[in-house]
Amino acid sequence: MHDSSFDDLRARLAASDPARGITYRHANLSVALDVIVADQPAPIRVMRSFQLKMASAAAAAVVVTTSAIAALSGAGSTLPILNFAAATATTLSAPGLKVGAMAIRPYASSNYTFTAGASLSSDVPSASVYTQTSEPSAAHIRDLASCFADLDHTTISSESTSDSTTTVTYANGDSFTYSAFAVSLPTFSFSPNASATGGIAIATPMASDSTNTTIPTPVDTPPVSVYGTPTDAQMSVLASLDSLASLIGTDALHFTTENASASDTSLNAWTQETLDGLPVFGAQLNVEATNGTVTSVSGSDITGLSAIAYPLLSAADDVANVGSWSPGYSLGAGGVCEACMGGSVTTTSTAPTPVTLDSATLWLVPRTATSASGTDIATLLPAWEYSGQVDTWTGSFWAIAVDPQYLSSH
Amino acid sequence: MARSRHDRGNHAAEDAFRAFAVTIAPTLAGYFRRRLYPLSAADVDELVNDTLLVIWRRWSDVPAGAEVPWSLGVARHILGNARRGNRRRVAMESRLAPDPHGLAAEDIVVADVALSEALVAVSEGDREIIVLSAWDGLSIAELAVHFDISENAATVRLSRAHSRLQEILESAERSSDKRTGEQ
Repeated sequence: MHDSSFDDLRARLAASDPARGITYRHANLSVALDVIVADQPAPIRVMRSFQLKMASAAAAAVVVTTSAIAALSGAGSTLPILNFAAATATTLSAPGLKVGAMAIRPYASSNYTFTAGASLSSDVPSASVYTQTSEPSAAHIRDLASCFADLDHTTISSESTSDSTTTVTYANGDSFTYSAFAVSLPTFSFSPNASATGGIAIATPMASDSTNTTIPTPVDTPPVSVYGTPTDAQMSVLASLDSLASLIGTDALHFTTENASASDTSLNAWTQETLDGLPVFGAQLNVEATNGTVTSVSGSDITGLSAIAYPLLSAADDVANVGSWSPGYSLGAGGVCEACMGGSVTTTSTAPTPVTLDSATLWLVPRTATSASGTDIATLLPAWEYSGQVDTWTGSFWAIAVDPQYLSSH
Repeated sequence: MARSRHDRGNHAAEDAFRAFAVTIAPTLAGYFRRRLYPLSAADVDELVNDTLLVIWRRWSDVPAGAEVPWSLGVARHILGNARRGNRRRVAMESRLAPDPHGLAAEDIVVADVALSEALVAVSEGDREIIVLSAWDGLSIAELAVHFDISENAATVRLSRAHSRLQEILESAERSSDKRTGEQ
């Protein structure tokens, strides 16, 4: 490239910086840092301690312990150990017993009074706590990468691993990246080489969806996106990715027109990954295509997890623990509840806002546990996501469905 | 050189982290604004918070002298999680939601659309190194740390990415000129 064209390109890039001219000021960095440096994932540490005790015990003892836990889990709320809802709420809110990652958004329970609506079930759910017991092997990563290679008949030209991230590059320039760095669940992404003729072909144009509105476009401006329904041919290509499910440890993946949208040039599709029938928060397979060729495929890998049976709390009983913990990014329509943002709620002089929670969904939520030796362990915890109306917005609120009283005593 | 893990419990480590957090927060905010749309101020704060939390948890692993590119590596993973979470939210809210990776209508008026489209057309790897250099301001040495490659390799990778971007850009603009001439 000539220097002049390079300089011109650099100048155009600089002028196109979406963040140019924006001065960033954090709403309350000081408060956020107080929460961060106090990070002590106490409940997880207790659980890890319990696991280590299990691991070090004789096999027979483990069987007995596991059976006892299973019995507790199946016994439901009639057991005294599950009747500490109010007490556990206090325990979780107490200084020194702080939940760990993703607890930054402090919609403190002192600012809200949560009440279970009549529609919340008191049935104790059936779900397991999952912990990562093995690191993904190189063979597993290659198997995963080959799912995409098979679609495109490419061959691997190079493979490298550093900092828990493996990158596989194919002969045609397509690349596959698998990373377990700084994330609760390992993630993978496939990026076809845009300048090559390969990639996963998806036919265009898309069929129009009669339910959507066509926005008139002036002739001198770019078209405004109009979403439509993917064609049968596109859905067929997406269905071929269902084979990933067995490799990434989830239930079968299903792309439908309900979770895919298309314009005349682009396609976006996603499917929620599920494990034992429960959705895994943040774990989805996402496919994006532009002008007939897939531009990215990304998702999470939850293989190598083992299940442990723990006593759980029903949606109705776990309401007392709402506000103690949040997986983030899900505060309802609009996505923003200013009153919930860090630092903006610091007064307790006003009366708590009453919130009636009227629906609940059980998720498996990724969470990184830290052992005493500093080793990070990926976990999936059952957690209730509640929905309730707060003033004019609908909020989502979370509570770990694992009985905290049980964790703290084991 | 990595700091000692024992530092984490010291006040010195906490003070150092707090000072670093103040300086890196605007860099992280810019990183997220350039890659995830739309973002409210509260969304940016939360993504910055989550990134700082991981940095703190791995404070002893942060390479001295290369804190910025290392932290942007953490931000890249936080961004991936946020995109998946955001997609779920968007899916629940409306099937007619705008493309989170597209331009807002008001942006199209003033943006360099040809360049934006060329950036979309290059591979994810090319786009990332171009943007890290041009928008996030990483030097060749910092790009080398970020991608864990040699400085020579970073130079070559960036140069090739620029060339491919330029090629796509020129091709698109030639097509546009041709269409204009035919009218």
